[in-house]
Amino acid sequence: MVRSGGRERATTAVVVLALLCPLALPDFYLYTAADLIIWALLAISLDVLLGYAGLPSFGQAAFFGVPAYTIGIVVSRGGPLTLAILAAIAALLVIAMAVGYFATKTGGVGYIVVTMLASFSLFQLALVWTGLTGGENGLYLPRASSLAVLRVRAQYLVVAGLGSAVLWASRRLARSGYGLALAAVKSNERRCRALGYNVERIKLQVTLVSAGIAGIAGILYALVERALAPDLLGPGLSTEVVIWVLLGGAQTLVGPIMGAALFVTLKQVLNTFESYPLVLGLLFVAVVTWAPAGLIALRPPGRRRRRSPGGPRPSPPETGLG
Amino acid sequence: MNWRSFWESELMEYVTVQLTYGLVVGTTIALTALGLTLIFGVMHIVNLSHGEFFMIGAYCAWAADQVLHNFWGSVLVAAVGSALLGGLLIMAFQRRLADAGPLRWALLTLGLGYVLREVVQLIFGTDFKLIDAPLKGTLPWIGGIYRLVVAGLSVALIVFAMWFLNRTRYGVLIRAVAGNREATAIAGVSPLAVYGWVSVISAGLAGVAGALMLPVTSAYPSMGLEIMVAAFAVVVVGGMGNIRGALVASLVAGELEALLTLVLQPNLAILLVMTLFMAVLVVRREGTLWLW
Repeated sequence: MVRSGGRERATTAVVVLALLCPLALPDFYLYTAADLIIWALLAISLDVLLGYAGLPSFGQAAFFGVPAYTIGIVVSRGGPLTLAILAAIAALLVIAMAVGYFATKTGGVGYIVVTMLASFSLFQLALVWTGLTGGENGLYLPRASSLAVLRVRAQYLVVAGLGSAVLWASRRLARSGYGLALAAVKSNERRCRALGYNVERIKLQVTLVSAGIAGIAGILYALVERALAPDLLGPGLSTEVVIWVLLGGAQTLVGPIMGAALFVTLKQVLNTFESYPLVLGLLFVAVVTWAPAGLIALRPPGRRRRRSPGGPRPSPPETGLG
Repeated sequence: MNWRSFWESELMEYVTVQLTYGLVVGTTIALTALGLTLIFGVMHIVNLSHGEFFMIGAYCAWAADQVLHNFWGSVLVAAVGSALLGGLLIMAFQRRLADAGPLRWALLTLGLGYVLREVVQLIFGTDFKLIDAPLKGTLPWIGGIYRLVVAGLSVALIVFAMWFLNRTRYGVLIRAVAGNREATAIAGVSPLAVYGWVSVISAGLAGVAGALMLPVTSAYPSMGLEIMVAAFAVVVVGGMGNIRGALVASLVAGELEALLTLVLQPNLAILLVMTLFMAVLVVRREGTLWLW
């Protein structure tokens, strides 16, 4: 395993920074910061699945969009918020169980195909089923039944609090015995099976955990942003999440958070710049090709650790992507 | 209503027209899936950018047709263009990722697909690019003549590709590398050259399919994604690397989709077919090979 003292400190710094934001930032930036935390949560959810367990979910947006849409559907029909949240959790469970079951059953390449298929199908469904989802126009949540009833500062604290809790829990999970089991399944599935682990069950469980994190992000998104569009379910967002995670550095938790924050910010700054997604895609291709451990593993050339001449080269951080 | 009047009714004609359309969709998926299985079987690449060569084929044909005003010439241009682009792209990364695992290839091709889609959008915009069918007129019970020609051409291409793989020297080399790379290399065949051929053929097949579909569906940026999802479903249901299985599954998918479109919205029909395929996947995994 990688020694990660620096990464520990970085994680703590991220949390402290996030919780201190309300002291320093005006309301507008707090709103943006809440947005960033939500996208970071989505990135964390994929990192747990792709980085730690090695399961390539290329349809992560499904787990994000389904609970968000469920909230939108219930609330826009006049249902109370508690009912909406319960329904969102139920819908998430159903979709995560179904996708997880099919994906782990088919295994290997099947995992990619089934997750991709799920995201694509739900996207199409959201476009077609206009009576329920509003089709291309999407849904708007009324102000009264969302987090918008709170002041921006309180809204932010809810999001940041939940976000920090999820990050802490994910780190605990990654460093627990279960996290080691995930790493084992990732690096050698057959040996795990021979040792008596129920690999299929572990895969299904971690898919559910990841879907849960993505679902929290989706619910927060619905309650904070209040505008839902089919893109939240689609292959576009699913691909973008993969890009954030890999750019930042898979299997580090902090890397994907940085990746998400960096690129969502860039997107907002450069939203007049039409070829922004192209730049993002090119950067992603470059990172996968030349720096598969992600940007977080890059060191400025001057600060490279000195190594004894002829001694063994320090092994690159394990990414499991090789 | 007795059978005779049903047989001669308009409804029946709808059904047969849809059956032809199903054949068009099915053979298109089959051509795309063929390239997908080929590149997976030989190079062990899960090519998530494969659908984009279908899209590039369609756009190439459209652009060439604006200049040449000759559809069949444009199809040829599209085939060569997408084949070269696909071969160049895959081979450019092949050296760098020579001993990378399938996951890294999947991620790379996911990124490449994203980039290709964005580039095409920047060049052509997001609107539909329309073109008139090169063959006008319709036949009773069948529908547009062009559709029949497309289905026929696609079937011919598939048969040709199968003949190429099974009967020619190059096909044997490709299958040899797929079977045992090291032994083939020892026998004096460069696997790199074979990889080059495979990536060119793979992208070329998708490009031809895209170009042929241009007059039917017109060209739009997400068409590659759509066909790729279908092709992947088909390839996985047919058994990764199993060409015959993928072909049968493509035809089943195309016909089912076309028939369901009679009663459902097109997008919903696709959804239903995909869900059905997912179910088949699970059943098959548990050891029931009842489809073929």
